[in-house]
Amino acid sequence: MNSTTSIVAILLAGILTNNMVLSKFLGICPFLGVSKKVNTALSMSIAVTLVMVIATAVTWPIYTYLLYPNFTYLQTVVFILVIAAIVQLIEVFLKKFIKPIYNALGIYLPLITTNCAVLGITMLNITDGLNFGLSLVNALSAGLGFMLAMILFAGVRSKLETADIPEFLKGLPITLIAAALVALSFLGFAGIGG
Amino acid sequence: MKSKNLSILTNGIIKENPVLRLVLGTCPTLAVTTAAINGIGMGVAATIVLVCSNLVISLLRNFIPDKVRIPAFITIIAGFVSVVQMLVKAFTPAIDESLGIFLPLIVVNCIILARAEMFASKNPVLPSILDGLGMGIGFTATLTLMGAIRELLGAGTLFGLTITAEFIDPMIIFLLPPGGFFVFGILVAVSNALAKKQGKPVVEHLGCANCPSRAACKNAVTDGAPQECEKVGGSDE
Amino acid sequence: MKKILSKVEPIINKITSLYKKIGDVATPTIVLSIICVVVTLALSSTNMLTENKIKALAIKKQNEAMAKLIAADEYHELKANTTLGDVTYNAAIKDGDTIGCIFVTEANGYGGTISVMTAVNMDCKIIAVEILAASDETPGLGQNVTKPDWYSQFSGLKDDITVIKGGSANTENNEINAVTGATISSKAVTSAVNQALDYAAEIIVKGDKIK
Repeated sequence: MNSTTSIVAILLAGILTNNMVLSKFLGICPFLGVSKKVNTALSMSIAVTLVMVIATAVTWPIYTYLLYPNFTYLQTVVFILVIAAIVQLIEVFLKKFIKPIYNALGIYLPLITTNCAVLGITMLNITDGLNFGLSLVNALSAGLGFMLAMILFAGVRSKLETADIPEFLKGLPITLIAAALVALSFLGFAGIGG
Repeated sequence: MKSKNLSILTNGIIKENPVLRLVLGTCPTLAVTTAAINGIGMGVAATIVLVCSNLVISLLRNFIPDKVRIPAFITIIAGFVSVVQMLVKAFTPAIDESLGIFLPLIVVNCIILARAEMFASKNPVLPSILDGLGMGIGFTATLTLMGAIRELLGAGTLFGLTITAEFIDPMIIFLLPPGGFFVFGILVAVSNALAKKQGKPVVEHLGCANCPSRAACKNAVTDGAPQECEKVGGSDE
Repeated sequence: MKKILSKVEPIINKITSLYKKIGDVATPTIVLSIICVVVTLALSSTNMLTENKIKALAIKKQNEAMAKLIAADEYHELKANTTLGDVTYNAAIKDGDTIGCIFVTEANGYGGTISVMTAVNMDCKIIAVEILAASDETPGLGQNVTKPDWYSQFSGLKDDITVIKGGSANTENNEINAVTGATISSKAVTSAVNQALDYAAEIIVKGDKIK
């Protein structure tokens, strides 16, 4: 497989067939919690994508050159601390230098430290044995996949607001059932690339 | 005193069931429950981490400065997760294979950080251990129940034993992601209906009260960000 | 005396407040560092305790799988460089003769990597295959590739195996049936097996010798 086709394959897989949220169940909390409005969903997913790519750019070299092969057991601890530090740094940087972006994304950043999609993608890049460039592409595609799922779902939820829902399903249950239907539609992408 | 400790223990199992009532730890809940045995494996691993981290954090509660509370908690939790991960790999490799990446991801399971932040950092050792144990049992029980439902409907088996597969064609969709969301939705609906009968509030959406990053979130609000914590709404995973 | 005191006092106050400020920054840093060091020590000691056990388990698993595929007296780990890249494989030895080669190859399935062990005899025919890892495949669909009923189809085939949907595969054309509803996983296993056959074709010189 040459590199262009593998980049395309990774992008397609991350966004459609192996969607972070809808097929790997990573990042469910923000998916359910921050998807009430399309614009908040968009801001959250931009912040997540940004952190994913930067976190991958930092954790991949750390794992490859420092932890491997003798200290791989420190992976979990090191990765989560690096992600926490990166999130803090991004927050400080945006606050100081790019105030408008900080105002838009700032409140979502602290929530991302413990977002399992971010830790998940940095670890999956290692387990899948991707090289540095493909890891970055993979992180980007996972972020874009997260974004697609968030925006689609925010759209679905805004329709739910006005729908006539049976009493016992009101609230979280109908949200989850709506998520099931969105996930069902994503199963249709399964044939791509096969 | 004894009854108080008992109520701390049972609190996590029923009244404040971490999955169905507090809606924490949804990622592993949905991801690993394709079989009942996976639910037990995930539940037990998370319970061990939860009890150990509650114990240590409660012991250190006066020693850890408030400012670095969250990073300190995360480090301690990550430490225990790695230890559990190595032990599982060495002694029960089958569970390691079926849980895959969700084993190290216990680090970001918000049940653990939430209990550290809301309970262990404010309470003595014994109640903290009981709280961790109760929450862990509640988590394990819910995951096992959900795994059992999905396994029975999706594969016609229960704990690997053939139950209905002989005479009812299994509905594979229940093992796939949509089935996970659907079964979880129905379970929350049932739990809501039961709560309503007893006059307790139903779970409407993911609330801010359960969010372990609440403190950080409030800081952001006072810094002049327009939205309130309520609107961010998400606990995180 | 009082004069001196009144001059010294602000200086002392300044020093104490400076100390306090340093303390405000230093205490959290020190505490956090201590926690990190303790956690690291705890992890490295657990690692020392479990490392050998984990490695032994992996070797045991591989040996058991190899013994299941070809009964032999011993297995020799060998390395070869082929036009497809370097490969590490095992030669199965019985009564002093090499009776087959065992390859472990991987391919991307639906959810993640599928790892397959393939044993071929000295005519480059498949003796049997074994699925080592396919835990990322969908339970009930893709995971069915791990069932012996399915992967036993590979036994006896050689060269460029193709996957056929709908159950009409002909072993004479080197075809196998896909698992119903899991074509991607079936194709992944097949491509891993084909890769092993490609290695074998280069390594095994016609008849009975290894290059």
